[in-house]
Amino acid sequence: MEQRLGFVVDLAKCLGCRSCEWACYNNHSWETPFRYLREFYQQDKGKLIYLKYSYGCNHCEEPECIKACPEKSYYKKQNGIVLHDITKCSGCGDCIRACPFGAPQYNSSLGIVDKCDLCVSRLEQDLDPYCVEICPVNAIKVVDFKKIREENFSKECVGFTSIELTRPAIRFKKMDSQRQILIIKDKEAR
Amino acid sequence: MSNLNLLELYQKSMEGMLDGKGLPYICLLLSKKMNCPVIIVDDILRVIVYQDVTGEGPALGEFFDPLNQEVKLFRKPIGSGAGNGALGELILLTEQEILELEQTTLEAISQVIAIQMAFEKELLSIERQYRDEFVYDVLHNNISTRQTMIRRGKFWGWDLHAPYSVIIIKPSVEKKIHIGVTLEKIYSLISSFVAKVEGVDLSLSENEIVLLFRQMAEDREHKQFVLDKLKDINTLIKEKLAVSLNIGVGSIQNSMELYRSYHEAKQAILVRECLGDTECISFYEDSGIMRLLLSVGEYQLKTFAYEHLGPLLNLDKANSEELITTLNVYFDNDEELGQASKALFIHLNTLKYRLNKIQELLGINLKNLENKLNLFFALKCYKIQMQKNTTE
Repeated sequence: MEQRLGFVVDLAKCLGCRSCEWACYNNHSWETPFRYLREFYQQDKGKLIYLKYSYGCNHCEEPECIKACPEKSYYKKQNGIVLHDITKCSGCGDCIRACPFGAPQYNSSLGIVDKCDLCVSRLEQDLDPYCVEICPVNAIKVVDFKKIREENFSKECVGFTSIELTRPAIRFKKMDSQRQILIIKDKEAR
Repeated sequence: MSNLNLLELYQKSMEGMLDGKGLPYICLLLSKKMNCPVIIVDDILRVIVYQDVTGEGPALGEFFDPLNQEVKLFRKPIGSGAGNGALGELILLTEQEILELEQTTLEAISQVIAIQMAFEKELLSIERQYRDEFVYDVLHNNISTRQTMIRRGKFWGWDLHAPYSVIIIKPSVEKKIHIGVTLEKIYSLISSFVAKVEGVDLSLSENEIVLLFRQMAEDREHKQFVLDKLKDINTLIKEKLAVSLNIGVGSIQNSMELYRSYHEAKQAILVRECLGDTECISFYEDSGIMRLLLSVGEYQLKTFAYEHLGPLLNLDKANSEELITTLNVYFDNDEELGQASKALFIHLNTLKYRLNKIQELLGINLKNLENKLNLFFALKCYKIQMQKNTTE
């Protein structure tokens, strides 16, 4: 197939400003944004690492939502985008429980679920998704994974473990500096 | 020998090519000119065309009679100058010496054949691209209605009224750069094989071959049928290309739910790959608890393994994984001390000593089912972890 689209997140650039979250929320008429900021803490060699960045649906290579949905409302396009047909959704929530990344979002007023569609209609017009377009520091990008050099990117980072079973289409740009890592406390100091 | 001179032969074969008469016509002309049967084989030595002077097929027993020492072969690669390897070979079944002038003739005609073969290959690849896109849509729930799927399937000769099971075949190739070339060859061999089997269709995607087996018997019989055919395919590929295959088999599903079978087949392969198997035929339904472990993040796997095996791993660093190996072999042999000690090439008492040491280090009792389960899973987690480190 000609493309395999996915996200690249530059951790060193992300300010945690939530612009992507708001752009997603404002343009998708859903109760909650599909992409939202997440904060992580992790102990590493005596240091407490704090990191924040956003992600939503990672348009996995082997999506669990497709398998879990009893209504067959999820499908995958040839460019790798996983889409959801809300007209088929019964709101059972099986996909929410199946997704390891918390991507599908339940709308309590409609009683159904939807998720990030990578702004597929914008991509068809050669435009970036809303979250990518709004980011003031270009920390998020949508790229064709067939055209990137995998060794320049990492599949995991603090707070995000690559699930072998689903193979999420998200990569993290390897950080040159530790600028964004806020070391809160030294183990000895504690 | 035919009266056609070199130029006439060249012109006629070019005209034949433009008229769409294809390789059989070109071979017939050449066969008449050289007065001997002509064969064209592809890059994996499958006979594409056979022509003799009469333009009829070979009689029974006439072809490659092993006892007939008189049959001489003249072989010439086709299209080897293109830089992409030969497209195939031109073979003449002749007893006469090939003269210099005839060599020139063959050179010219082999170029015409190369153009025709490249053209036909291109046509086939375009057709296959459309077919593969249809298969992708079927396997990713990308077709909205059953009617559409059945209609599109019918176009490609598939009967999607019936349930199918999806099989994925992945070659174990060390260098990724060779995967494409190897896959093409494997695909060609498997397509020849499945052409003789009723109810089997195949497709080639980026790095895997997808086979669809139509259910034509009860579940158990179907499983046995699939297993037998896959064993044959495995043997065939191993013999011809010396490549081992990882094969995953999904469950039987109706056409609208084939995507489930596809994902199951993928998971079946993944389970084996994570355990370091490079050659297997694995059914999803037999992959057991391992597939649950794969839905857990790497960090959790690592933590679980080190929580339960930490003291053993620390001690093994100095002893080249003695205790971990002992535990693995002990569980692999269904906790039979005699068998496990034989498999480890150690005395029974040594094994007992090591097991006691493991219990002492971990502070557990190996007779307790929960302890055993934890250790068993921790060993699997550790193996997945180690395998991942090796592949990365």
